[in-house]
Amino acid sequence: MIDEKTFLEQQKIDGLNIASTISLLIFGMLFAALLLCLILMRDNFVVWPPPAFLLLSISKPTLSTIFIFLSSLFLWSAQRNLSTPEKLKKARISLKLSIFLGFCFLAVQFLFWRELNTHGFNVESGAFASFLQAMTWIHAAHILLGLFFLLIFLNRIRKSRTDFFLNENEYKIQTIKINFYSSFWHFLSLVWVLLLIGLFAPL
Amino acid sequence: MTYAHDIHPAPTTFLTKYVFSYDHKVIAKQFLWYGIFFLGIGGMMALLIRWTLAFPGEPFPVIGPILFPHTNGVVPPDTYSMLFTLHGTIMIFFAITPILIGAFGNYCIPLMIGARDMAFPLLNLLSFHIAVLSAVLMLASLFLPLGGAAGGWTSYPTLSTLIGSPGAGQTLWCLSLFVLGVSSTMGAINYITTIIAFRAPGMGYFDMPLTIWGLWLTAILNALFIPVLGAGLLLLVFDRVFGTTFFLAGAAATTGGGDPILFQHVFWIFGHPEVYILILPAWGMVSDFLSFFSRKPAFAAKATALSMTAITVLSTLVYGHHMFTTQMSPLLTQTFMTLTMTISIPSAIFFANWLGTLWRGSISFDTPMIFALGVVFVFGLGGLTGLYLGAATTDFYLHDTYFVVGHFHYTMAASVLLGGFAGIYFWFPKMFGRMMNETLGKIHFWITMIGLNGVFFGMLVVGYAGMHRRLYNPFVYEFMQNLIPLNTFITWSALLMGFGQLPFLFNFIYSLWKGPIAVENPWQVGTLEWTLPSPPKTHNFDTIPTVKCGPHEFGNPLLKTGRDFQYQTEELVR
Repeated sequence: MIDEKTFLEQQKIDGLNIASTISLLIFGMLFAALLLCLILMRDNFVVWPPPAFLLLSISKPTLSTIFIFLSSLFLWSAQRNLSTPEKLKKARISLKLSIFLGFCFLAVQFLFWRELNTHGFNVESGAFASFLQAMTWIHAAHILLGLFFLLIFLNRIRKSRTDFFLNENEYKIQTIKINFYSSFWHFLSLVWVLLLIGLFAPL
Repeated sequence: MTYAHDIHPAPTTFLTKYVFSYDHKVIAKQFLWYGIFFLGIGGMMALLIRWTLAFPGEPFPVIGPILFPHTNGVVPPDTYSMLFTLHGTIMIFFAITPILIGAFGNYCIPLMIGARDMAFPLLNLLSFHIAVLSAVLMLASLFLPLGGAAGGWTSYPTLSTLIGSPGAGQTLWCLSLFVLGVSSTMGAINYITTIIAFRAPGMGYFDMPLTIWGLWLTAILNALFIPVLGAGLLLLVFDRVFGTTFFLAGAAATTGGGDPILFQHVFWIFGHPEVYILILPAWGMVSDFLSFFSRKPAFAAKATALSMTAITVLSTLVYGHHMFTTQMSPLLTQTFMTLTMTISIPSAIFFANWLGTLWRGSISFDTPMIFALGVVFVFGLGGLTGLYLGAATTDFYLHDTYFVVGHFHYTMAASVLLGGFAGIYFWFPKMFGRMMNETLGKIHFWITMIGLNGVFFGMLVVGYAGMHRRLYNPFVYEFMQNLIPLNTFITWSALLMGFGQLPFLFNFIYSLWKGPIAVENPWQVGTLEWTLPSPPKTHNFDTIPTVKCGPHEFGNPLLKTGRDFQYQTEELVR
C-alpha cells in the first residue's frame, strides 16, 4: 500500500504526461485541418503550383528546411545529453545551437515573404498565394511559441541551476516538460516538411 | 498543514474566493451563472425570432420599441438575420457548453472520481476567464455600426465573407469563437487528464459514474475537433482581414479562386462531433439518474458506456451528411449515409438500456428524475427525426427546411436543456447546501415540456410542409400562407416555454438563500460526492477515498445497513 503523498505525486507525473500528449494532439489537429484544406484546394486546380510560381527561386524554402532540420537534430542531441550531470554542458551547447537555427529559420521566412510580395504573390492574388502566405504565417507563429518553449528548456538546465538532478520526482516532472517542448519543436519540423510537400509538390 | 492543502492556496479575499478562484467547485458555479445568463439572452432572441414569424410586421411587446425604436418595435430584416445567427451561437457555445460541460464537468469530475481538484487548477481558472473574454467579444459585436454576425451559426461563406457580411461583427464572431475554442481546449486537457490520472484508488473505468463517461468522451471530442473549427475560423478571419481568398470563388481568375465549400468541410468535421459534445454529458447524467431514481443498478452499464464510446467514434466519420446537397459524389453520399445509419446501432443499445433500467424499478418521480425522463422522450424524437436527414433521399427534400431546425432543437436544445435542468436540480443541494422546491420544479418541468414540444414538433410539421429556415417573412409566398396558424401556435408555445422558466429562476434564486438546508445525501445515492458534506469543503476529501464498488449498487437484498444502496467506498455485499 503506497502512502497518500506518493500516490498524489505519481498522479501529478501521470497527469503531466497525459496533458502533454493531448496538447500535442490538439496542435496536430489544427495543422491536420489546415493541411486538409490545402489538399482539398489542390484538387480544384488543374495545375499546381501555378506556372507563375515557377519563376520564383526555391532557395529560401530549401534553406529554411535545412535550418529547421538541423535545429531538430541539435535538439535531439540536447535531449540525449540530459541523462547525467556530466553531459549537461553538451546539452546546453546543442540546445543553444538549436535555438539559434530556429531564429535563422524565422529570418529566412521573413526574406521569403518579402520575395513573394515583390513578385506579386501577395495574399490577395488567389488561393495558391493565400495558402502559401497564410500557412507559413501560422507555422511561423507556432515556431515563435516553440522558441519560447526552448528558451524555457534552456533556463531549466542553465549553469547556475544546480538542482536539476537532485529530487527524483522533480527530475521526472522537468523531463516530461522538456520532452513536451522538444516534441513540439520536432512536430513543427514535421509540419514544415508536410507543408512544403502540400504547397510545392506538383499535381 | 496537510498535503491536501498544498494543491492551491486557500482563498482569503473576496477576489480569490469568488472571482479568481482555483477551486473547481467555484469555477463550476461561475460557469453555471455564465451559462444561465446567456440562456436568458439566447432565449430572448428566440422569442424575438418567433414573434416575427408569427406576427410579421407587428411590434414586439414591451421591449420592442426600446430595442428597435426606428421601426417602432418591429424586428427589422437585417436584425432578424443577426438574431438567428446569435441565438444559435449563444445557445450552443455560451449557454449549453458552459452549463453542461463547464459547470457540471468542473463540479462533478473531481468529486465523483475522488480527487481534490482538477489536474491543473490554474489552467481551469484561465479557462473560465478566457471564456469571459470570448463573451465580451461576442456581445461587443452587437454594438458595432453594422451590428453583429448575420451569416447563420454555421457562418457559411460567402454569407460570412466581406461580400455577405461587410461589418466587423462577423470578424468579432470568428475571434470570439476562436478564443472560446482556446478556453474549451484548456478545459478538455484538464478533464481528460483528471479522469485518466486522478481517479481514486480502486476506481476502474467501469466504476466511474456514467456522468463521468459522458463528460470524458465530450472532452476527448472537444480536444480533437475544436482545433479543426479553429483552423476554419483562422482562414475565415484571414479572408476578412488580410484579403486572402480561401473561401471566395472566382476572386482571382488568373491564379485560381478559393472554394466556399471548403469551409463547410472544416465546419462540419467539427460540427457533427459538436452535437455529441453537447449531448454526451446529458446522456451520461440521464443514465445515472434513471438508475438512482429507479433504485436499480443501471441496466448493462458497461454496454451503455461502450455504446457512448462507439457513438463518439462514429460521430467523427459522418460529417458529410450535412453536405448532401453540395454536389458531392454519389459514392461519398452513400458512404456517409451508411455510416450515419450505423450510429443507430449503439444509440438503440443505450436507449434500450435506459428502458431496461426503468423496467420494474421502484421509480420516484423527483424533479431530477422527471427531467431525465423528459430527456428520454425528447431524445427519442430527436434521434428518430435524424434518420430522415441522414438518408440522402429524404434529406434532399428536407434540407434547409424547418424540419432540420425542429430535429436539431429536439437533440441539441430540448434534450440538452432538460438534461441540464435535471443536473441542476440534482446537484443543487451539493453545490449550495440547500434544497430546491420540488413543486416549483415540477411546474417548471411540465410547462417547459409542453412548451418545447409545441415549438419543436410544430417546427417539424411546418418544415415537412416546405417552410424554409432563415426567412424573415415566409408568408410573402402564397403557398406558405396556410402555415400562419401553425406558426402562431409555435410562437405561443415558445412564449409559454419562455415564461415557464420564471418558476425555475425564482426557485433557483430563492433556494440559494431560503431553501431548506440540504442533508449530506438527500437523494440516497452512493457516488463519491454524496459521501461529503453539502457543500463540500475546499479540498473535497480529507483522505483520498478507496473505491470498492460501482456507482449504481441499489436494491441488494443482502444489505443489512437499513439503506437500499451502497456507497462506492463500501465493500460490495455478496
